[in-house]
Amino acid sequence: MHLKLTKYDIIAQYRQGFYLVYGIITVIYIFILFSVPVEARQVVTAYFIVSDTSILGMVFVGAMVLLEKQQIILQSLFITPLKLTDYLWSKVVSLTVIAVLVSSFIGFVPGGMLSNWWLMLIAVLLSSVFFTFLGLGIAARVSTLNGYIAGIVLGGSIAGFPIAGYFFFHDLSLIFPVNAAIELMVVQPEKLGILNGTMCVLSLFIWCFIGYAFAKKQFEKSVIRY
Amino acid sequence: MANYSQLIKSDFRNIGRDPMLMMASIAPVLLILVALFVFTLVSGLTEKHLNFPLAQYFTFGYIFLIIIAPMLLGMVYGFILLDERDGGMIGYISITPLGKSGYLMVRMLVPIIFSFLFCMMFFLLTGFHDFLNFLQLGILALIIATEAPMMLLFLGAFAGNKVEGIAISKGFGILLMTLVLDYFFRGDWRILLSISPLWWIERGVMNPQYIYPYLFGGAIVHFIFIFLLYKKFIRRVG
Repeated sequence: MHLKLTKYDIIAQYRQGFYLVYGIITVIYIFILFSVPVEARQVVTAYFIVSDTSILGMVFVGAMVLLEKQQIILQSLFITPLKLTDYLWSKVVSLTVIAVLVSSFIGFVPGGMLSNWWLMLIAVLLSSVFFTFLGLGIAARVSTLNGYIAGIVLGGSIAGFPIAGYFFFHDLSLIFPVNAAIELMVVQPEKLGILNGTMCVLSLFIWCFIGYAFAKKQFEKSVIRY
Repeated sequence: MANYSQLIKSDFRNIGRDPMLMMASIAPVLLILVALFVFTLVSGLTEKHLNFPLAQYFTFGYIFLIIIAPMLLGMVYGFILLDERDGGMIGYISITPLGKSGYLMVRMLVPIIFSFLFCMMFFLLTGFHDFLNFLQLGILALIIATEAPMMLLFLGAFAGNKVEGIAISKGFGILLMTLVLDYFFRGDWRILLSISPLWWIERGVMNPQYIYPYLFGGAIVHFIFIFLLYKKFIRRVG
């Protein structure tokens, strides 16, 4: 891990307004969550986290990579001693910081996630890592912003589609990342059980690894061998 | 006009190449299908299982869906504009006979025309002509269609590059939120939401007896926004 690179990524994201935009979005989510009845708050919070704040890395990383491609930064970056894995992890870590911060605010201020707080943090952390890697892999392949958005809509739908299985083949469906993240966030820790809990975390870990391998391969194929 | 047609023609060729443009061209059809079939299907389910039919919310749901299409088109064209600007394309186009303003005109006009046609089709298929006449529908469709250039100009005026463009487009969802706040909450404070151009559209359709005042107000708010954003955009492109 290259801490300096991560630091500069965070500074760049701050300057490009990520923190401002998500600050506003967080306030709105908190406002909405306070108006949701207490008994439904946890589920609605989980919905906001799964549909937006835990996957924000996927949305933003593509634009960052495309801009760097267009400004010929990437091509120059990889003739320096910097390793590809450092570059990828720096993007993932810097964006996961925002994801965890924002999710914590909307999860803890209105209180929907207080009973599941550490499970939520694990779910957000691992989902964000997986989806940002997925975004990186897609960004390596495309050359326009619209191409990227279409790619993540497709990739996100494929990753999110098994959500339907959550209601029909509940236990089996936990091998999919979105389902595992939902399980960790909406089931109370004492009801979750060690087996189910471990399976969810393990499944998310494996997806992160798959995402990492995908991103690395796509970069090696489309960006580095120019 | 010959100059415009060249760019419009190449734009149509772009639809085949740009996957998002392709998706944005399919999206209106999907939105109409959702309005016609998914709404009744879901309402049937909630009525059967929860004894809670959703039919009373249909008109509001329709407005929500109608507005998505021009916003999406505006965003897609806005992203094309950002890509072209980041790549220095606008500089090249500005020295052709088309010029910078001609370029912008085409970028704005194409999504307006698409959005207008979509809105009219949506209105007729979902039965808006039962409570609004054709003149009112036409004006309403025109106002809604101008959401597209508004999104495009907003991106062009405030986004320094495509990364900022993505950040800003995340914020567009907030605009749609004003509709939800206005519809589901009560109180005089909602008048503050009138700063959102979408508020006027929703109010007009939900209160058809006052449609003209709301259309008038909506047209003015849209015009002011587009005028200010256009000014800012032109200053930015230099």
